[in-house]
Amino acid sequence: MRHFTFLLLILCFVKLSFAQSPTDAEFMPKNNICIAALYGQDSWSKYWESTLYRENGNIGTLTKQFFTPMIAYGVSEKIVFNVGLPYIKSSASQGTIEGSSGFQDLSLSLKSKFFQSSFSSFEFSAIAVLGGSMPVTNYNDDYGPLSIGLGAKEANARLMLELLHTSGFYVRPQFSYHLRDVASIERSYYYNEGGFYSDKIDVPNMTMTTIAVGAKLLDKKLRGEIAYNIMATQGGAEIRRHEAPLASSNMDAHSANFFIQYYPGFVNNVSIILAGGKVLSGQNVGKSTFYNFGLTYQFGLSKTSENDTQK
Amino acid sequence: MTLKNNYLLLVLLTSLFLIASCEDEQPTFVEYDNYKWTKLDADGGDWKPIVMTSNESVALDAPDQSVVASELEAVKKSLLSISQEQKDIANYWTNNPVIRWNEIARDLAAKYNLAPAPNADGTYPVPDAANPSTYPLFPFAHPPYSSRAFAYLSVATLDGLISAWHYKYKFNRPSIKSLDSSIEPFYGDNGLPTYPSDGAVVTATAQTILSAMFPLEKEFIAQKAAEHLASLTYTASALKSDIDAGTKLGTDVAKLALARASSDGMKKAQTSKAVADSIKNAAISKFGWSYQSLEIPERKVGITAMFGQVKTWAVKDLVAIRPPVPPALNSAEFKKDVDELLSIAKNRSGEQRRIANFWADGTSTYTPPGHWNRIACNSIVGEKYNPLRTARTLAYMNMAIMDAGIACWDAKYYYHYPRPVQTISGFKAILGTPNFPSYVSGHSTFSSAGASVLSYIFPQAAATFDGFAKDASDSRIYGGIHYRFDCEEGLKLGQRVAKETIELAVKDGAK
Repeated sequence: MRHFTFLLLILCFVKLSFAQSPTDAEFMPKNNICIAALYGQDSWSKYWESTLYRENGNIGTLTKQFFTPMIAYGVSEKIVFNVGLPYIKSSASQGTIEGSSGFQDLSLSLKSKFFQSSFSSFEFSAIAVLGGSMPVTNYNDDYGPLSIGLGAKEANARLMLELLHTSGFYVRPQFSYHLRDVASIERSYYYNEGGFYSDKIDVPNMTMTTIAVGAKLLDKKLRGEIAYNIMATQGGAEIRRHEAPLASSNMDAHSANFFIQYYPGFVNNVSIILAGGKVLSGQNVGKSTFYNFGLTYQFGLSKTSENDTQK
Repeated sequence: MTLKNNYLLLVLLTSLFLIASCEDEQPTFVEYDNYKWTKLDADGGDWKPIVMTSNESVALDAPDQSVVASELEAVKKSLLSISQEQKDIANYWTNNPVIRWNEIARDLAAKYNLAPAPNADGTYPVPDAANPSTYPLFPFAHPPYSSRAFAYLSVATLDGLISAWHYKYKFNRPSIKSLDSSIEPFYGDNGLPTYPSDGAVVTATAQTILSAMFPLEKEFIAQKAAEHLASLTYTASALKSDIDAGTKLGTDVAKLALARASSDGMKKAQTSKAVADSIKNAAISKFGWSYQSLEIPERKVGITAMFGQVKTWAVKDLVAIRPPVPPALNSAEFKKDVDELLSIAKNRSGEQRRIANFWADGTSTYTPPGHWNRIACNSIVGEKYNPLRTARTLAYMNMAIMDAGIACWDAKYYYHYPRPVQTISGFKAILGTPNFPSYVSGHSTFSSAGASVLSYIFPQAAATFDGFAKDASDSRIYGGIHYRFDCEEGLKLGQRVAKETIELAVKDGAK
């Protein structure tokens, strides 16, 4: 059985869990660089086959481990450039199908705070992110739940609005649209609500809607938030009874997650990240539980910004 | 600085829209243009049919010439007012609709090629032909089932067209263009006598066979048939009386084929657990081993354990061509092929993975028999065959492929040999292990049978077909679900089967 969705989800959350990432409202001084190393794990033992919530003895528990190096660069105080490339390893606890592993998709993004305004004790920011990703290895994207990626190029645009109180508490609604290209597969026919004579599969576009609430405390040394996320593909086929899904399956999921980042202070410019969450409901997706943790190290390229690296 | 940032944003934005505009729909059928047939095979009515005893097994009255004038007028009128949608439909069907019906059959096989899900108590339900719409839907179009559907479709089409060709030249009603030179038929004038319509024969046989093989698709099939029959008028391919006669002839010939199908033993091929167990126990007492499904929950009844008992088309004696006893599980020969599997699993090349996936043809696909039908159709279109010669090619290939399935299943359940995931502790594959015994490989047997018949028909491409069969065979080793001896013996078995099929083809009168 194949199952792509949870992978998609975990990628979203891996990105979430990195300050100065495409999915948060954090910025840094000009010419600063932040490097991050994240480890994550996602697993599920039940999934939704269309709307049917089920187990699969030939999968058991499906686990994916992620190691993601990322680099962010402060182009200016209001613009961050971000690049990341995850290494992923998948395995099933039961059944006779081998797991898979390898580098997946290189992602690039540019985040810009294009509007900022203060009123009474609030600060309001509007942030736009443009990004894209593409597979960098020839991983098998036609390998069901054990595939390490969708195998399709993606371009995405995200709008975030942050309302920050002087106390440090904030609320951040955000919405992103993900345009996805075709996935190439190693066969020339597939069935997807009809036969297709092609080695390309249309991967449906996707939207992600998130509402996050959190706080930046202790002189911004600690940031914590909780978020509710709604992922929905635009179209895509339902997985039929006991069928293996394709990259073109319709995939919807509601999930909740938490995120904590802390700069302990005893090591300069280093932060610790801990995050996790659960898929609460969905269609054609696994009921995933996921967590990840990581370290970031931030430094300035020029003398002037070196002293101010924790903004 | 700002300029540079804006430039970066612009580049990203542009690439976003470039990707968006690149999203073409993927093709739902194989594109090919209408073509002029290389020859008419005017003697085709004398070729030896398969299920009919003669080319007049189904009687057909002489055409009523009094209707010609009015029918010709109707054809002329609809050709003159042909719409763009009708042109698209005509370009889809072309003047060789045998190819399209074969493709539709492949899609139906793919749609119904889904293994039943387990019940809550760990048992598995079985599709029931008497209640096709109750889950699991009937049929489960696994490779044996699909090979049989393709065989009956192709055989009925061949017999229908042999009879049609016979009556065409017997009654010799001239082509539409010869009746009225002012008419320019959409597909050109092929010079073939029109009565009965070959297009209608093809569609009526296909509709009758496919509706029986895929009963839940009756309406869809009827809609496709109606679409094609309507196109015969506005493309000026046939008069109404030609179409009516062709429809009747095709339907009646297909019924003869279905009569054979109803008593060919397929009804008993999927056995009860008791029968499955007795077959398994026979192998254990003879050889000391047996196949077991490792699916969870275990599938305790394999796929069509008695498909080996189904009536063959050409093979006379299954036992005579049965592969030799496979290696004992403690033999050096067995160990050698296990070592190969372990070595591939450890260090599988990109090319090995590609071959494994390309030829996998697993669930939700048209199966290996369907893959060979696609290959055959490509060659047929390439050689610009007329529908009769197309049907002959597909009939002999699919009879060989179905016989290959029968001979392969005979060996599979006679020897009941365990699969690699069963004999090698902790071994995992990159393909799902199918629910039937290992020896010999179905892909190998189907493929070498298909390749052998195609090589007989298209000798110039024999090396290509052999290469395909070898790849399809190796793909199972690369995927980790067959030992090399399964595949090598499967290839040989397929050749032995095809030899008997080709012996019939040689004598059928086609030049």
